[in-house]
Amino acid sequence: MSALQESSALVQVRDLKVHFPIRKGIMRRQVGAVRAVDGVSFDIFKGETLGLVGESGCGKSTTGLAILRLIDMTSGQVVFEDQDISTLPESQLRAMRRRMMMIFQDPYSSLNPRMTVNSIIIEPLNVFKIGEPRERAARVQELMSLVGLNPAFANRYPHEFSGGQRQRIGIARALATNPSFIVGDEPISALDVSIQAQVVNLLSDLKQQLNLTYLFIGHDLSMVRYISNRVAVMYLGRVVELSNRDAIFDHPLHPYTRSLLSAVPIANPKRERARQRIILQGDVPSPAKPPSGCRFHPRCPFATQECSAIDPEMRNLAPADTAPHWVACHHAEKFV
Amino acid sequence: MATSIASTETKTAPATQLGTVRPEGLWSKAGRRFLRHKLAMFGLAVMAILLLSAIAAPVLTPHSPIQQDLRNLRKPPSAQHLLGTDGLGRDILTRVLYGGRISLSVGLVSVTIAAVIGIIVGIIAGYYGGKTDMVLMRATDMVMTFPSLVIMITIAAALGPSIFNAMLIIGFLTWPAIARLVRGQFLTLRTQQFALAARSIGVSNWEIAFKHIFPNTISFITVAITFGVATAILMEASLSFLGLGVQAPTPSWGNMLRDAQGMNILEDMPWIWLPPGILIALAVLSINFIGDGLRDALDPRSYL
Repeated sequence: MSALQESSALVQVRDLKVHFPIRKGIMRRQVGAVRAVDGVSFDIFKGETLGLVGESGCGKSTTGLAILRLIDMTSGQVVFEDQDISTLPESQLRAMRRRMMMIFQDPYSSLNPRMTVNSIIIEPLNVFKIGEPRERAARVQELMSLVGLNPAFANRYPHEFSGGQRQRIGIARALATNPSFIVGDEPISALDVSIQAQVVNLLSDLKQQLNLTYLFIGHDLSMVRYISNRVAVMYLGRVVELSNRDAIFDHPLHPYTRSLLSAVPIANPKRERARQRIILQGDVPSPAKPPSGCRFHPRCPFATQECSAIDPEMRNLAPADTAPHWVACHHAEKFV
Repeated sequence: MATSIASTETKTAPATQLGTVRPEGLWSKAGRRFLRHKLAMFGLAVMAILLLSAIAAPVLTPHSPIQQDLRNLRKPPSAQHLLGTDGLGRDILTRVLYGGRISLSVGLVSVTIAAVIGIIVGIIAGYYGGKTDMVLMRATDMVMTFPSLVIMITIAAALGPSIFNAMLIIGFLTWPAIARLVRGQFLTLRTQQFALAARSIGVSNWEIAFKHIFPNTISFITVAITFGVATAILMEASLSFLGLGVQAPTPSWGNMLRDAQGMNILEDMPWIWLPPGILIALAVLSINFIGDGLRDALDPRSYL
């Protein structure tokens, strides 16, 4: 894994595991664990957008929450701005939260219905005691203009806004303390398609203006392709493939990525007719009982004996002088 | 305020806009809405009249609530006794006014006891969850499974019947409803993304509980409290009806109803039982209207 490390990494995630215990009986004895995230490692470089894709339940949101320590990680390490935050006590962690923020999926439940827009956006400023109270009010106005909201609406309540506007409120709140790193947990998937593009463009613009680094979690592959510099593909609690955006989308090496991408319709009817879908067998196994060896092997059309026995390591299959292309598959060479 | 995009224009322009927007807190907005709620205003007016007339009882009536007049038993309404007299010749109107003091204060005090216990238990259970929640909720369930009338009778018999004991008993029997409500709301709201969002911007756990979650439960608590007042008035009535609440000769609406037991009174002398009955119904109804009004007023989502 040492080859993954680079000096410009803002966030380093090493062997992150989040297991949720399954308890049964009166004694609440632990009888097993849902391995939502089971050994995930990647870096997020300064100024990039790392897209994290995968189907529902693959652990991508949990990964995002665990990186920000919003849920407890079972084991592993998260280094943010050269500081290991995985074992920081909550008191010191709170100071770090100023630099790393989250944009939530559901703009309807992520804003307190009883707080005005002003009190929502000003809250992080109050928590971290940034500026004088007068300056904070001005800062709220400035943030609202920045995300494309009319500052005159500061005294309104969230329910008076549309989904897209509410997401902008959430974005303004996340930006209030000038963070360097923002996790977007499917920030557009709850919005109308017509609004999604606006919000994605806003996020890209803000990234340029404010020098942000994003972890963009999503399942809409075209949106992830549009906004990301690099993309990580998750399956059943693991990252199975990680590379530059174009390498992932144009030359996927993992059979799972290939089938995932083959499910995306193409807007050109001629090419759409020629599109070959790779239909997978069966369902995603339960993360409480992941398959032996490669987790994808029961559904993989290329699986061999080796796949069911040996858990594949992440390997870099890119040519020596190009950007690395990490893939966890015994047979990925087939597709190079 | 060092921001890469901060410029003098964006700092001054919105400031003038801010001047045109009148900042208004949740409470003043809720107050205005409450004042526009017709049923609530009706309830408030009725309640105010009941309270004022109970307080001003000595001024409003020349009679004594306990002075017996054995020459004037069960007399129908007349010029001297506007609502007639009861079985011991006491003026019904006077007793109803003085009885309001007892019934309304029992309602308010016992609901205060119930609300304090219920809110504290509910917040602790809902906030900590897990084992704390389980222990507290099983205790709550136990209190709820008590057959309230039997317990009331037993405790009243053990402690001796008095108005103060009636308040205590009613308070201790009715807190579980409020506790369960607060706890349920906390459990639901705790998992809402805005609670997680508050954590993500560094808000401490206690602040999340009190600044973010608790205000979202206030409308439910307010409603539960107003309905609790109604329940408490009715419970006092049943306690007194059984002779275990307020003791004779002190009048309360409940023991006035008890004194009206008997077929011939119910059939032929409605002036004895109608006034306290109507006042209980009026008090309960107006408090429920007030509760409805508060619930609507305190929910910003119902603003337009």
